[in-house]
Amino acid sequence: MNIVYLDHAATSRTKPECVYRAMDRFMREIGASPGRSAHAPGLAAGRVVADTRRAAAALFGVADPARVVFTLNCTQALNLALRGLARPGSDVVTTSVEHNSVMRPLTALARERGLNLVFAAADEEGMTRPGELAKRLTGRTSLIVMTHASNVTGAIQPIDEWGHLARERGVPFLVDAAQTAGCLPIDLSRLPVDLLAFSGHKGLLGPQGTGGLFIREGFDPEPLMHGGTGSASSEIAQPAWLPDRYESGTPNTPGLAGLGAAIGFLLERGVASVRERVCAVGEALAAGLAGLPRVRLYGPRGMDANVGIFAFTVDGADPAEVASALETRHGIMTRVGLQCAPCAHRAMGTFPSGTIRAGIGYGTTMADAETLVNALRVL
Amino acid sequence: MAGEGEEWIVVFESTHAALAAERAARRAGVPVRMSPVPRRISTDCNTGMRVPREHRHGLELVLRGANVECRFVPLDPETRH
Ligand SMILES: Cc1ncc(COP(=O)(O)O)c(C=O)c1O
Repeated sequence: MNIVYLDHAATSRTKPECVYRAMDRFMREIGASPGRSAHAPGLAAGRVVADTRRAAAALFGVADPARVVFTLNCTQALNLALRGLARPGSDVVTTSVEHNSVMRPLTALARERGLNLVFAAADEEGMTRPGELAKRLTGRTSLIVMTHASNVTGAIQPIDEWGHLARERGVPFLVDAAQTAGCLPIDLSRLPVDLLAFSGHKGLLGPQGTGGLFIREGFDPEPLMHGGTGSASSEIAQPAWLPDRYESGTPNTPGLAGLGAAIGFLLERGVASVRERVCAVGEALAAGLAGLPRVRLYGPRGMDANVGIFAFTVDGADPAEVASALETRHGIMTRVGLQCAPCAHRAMGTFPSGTIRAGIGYGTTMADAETLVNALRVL
Repeated sequence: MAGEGEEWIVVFESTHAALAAERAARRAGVPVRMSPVPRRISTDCNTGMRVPREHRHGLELVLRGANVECRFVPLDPETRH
């Protein structure tokens, strides 16, 4: 049985061929630590990291690549930004659809630093309107954080409007782009976003263990970790400059080699053209699911408002049983349950049993969409 | 043995800056060679860039154009090897 992988929202599975080759080449032919020694393989490793940084900067419209720092995943990037910026005793405004990678650090910070967490509500499709933000901003707000797209419903959030409001009020604006980096065009030369956290292993098509944070000039979060950087070695204080300030310890260089190749692939193809294909499959899948009387779909159906996630339940059936049957009888891999976002499910009325999530992405075909619809029809 | 200032070394804050400088220099066709920085010159970033004296001024312009922060230090015969 062929595998139909519909869990792109967790991580993309099949990567462009160049990603495997770049990682293999790094491991076999370079293999040294970047930024530490000036011998030939050490320099080659440093160039791999620099190339990946330049590619990421180009993809996101960032003029100075040093403003993109690498992390192990989006969670680490979010922790760095949240821990680095949330002022003790202040308000932090966020939304009810955030992933636990935002909710949990904020919850911990509320306890440690006496933060007051303020939640803007999402509508029934999982969208958080800018009006919801405006009425929650106060003079005590030290940070606004929101996801670019919900990992539960796929709803694309109006970060442009939120960002403009944040700018008007002079509040730093952090965006969780885990679900959108590589999937939607993101131009930080234009978007009023101050910090943007991303995964390297989802829509960017890189390997697991990669991610990063864009930090706009003028923002200086405290580092999450301190340690060796290969620079300022005579000093025991953490360097002040980027990217070294936020990149202590030996990085995941094989992973960054793969990520660089993946972003190169996206730059060549164009995010917009990859997106076009995903949209075509998404529209067909949404139409197919809507035609099934027992299937209930949550979230936006039109791909103009959806990053490529279809959340559904089947009347009278436990979501876990449905997911299990999809896999064992049809080879379809979905993600079932709460998808690390309990509050989003509470708002949608699907807590605690959750939904079945089909996440499509690069490489998902019309045939995959048909397989899912047909499987649900005969369930 | 070469005389004083036959070769210069450019030192940087970080490897990120050193590699950005290398790229800019190569693109501009300036003959540079990446190398460790002698300890008595700097203990900051390990990675420096050597440049022949006659290309020093050209390289300064290139690096200024590329917005790379750096410092040029002449290598005397004792530090050369
Ligand atoms: C919206 C959202 N934020 C953050 C994350 C965390 O990403 P990562 O697994 O790269 O840490 C995910 C995915 O797991 C996500 O869907």
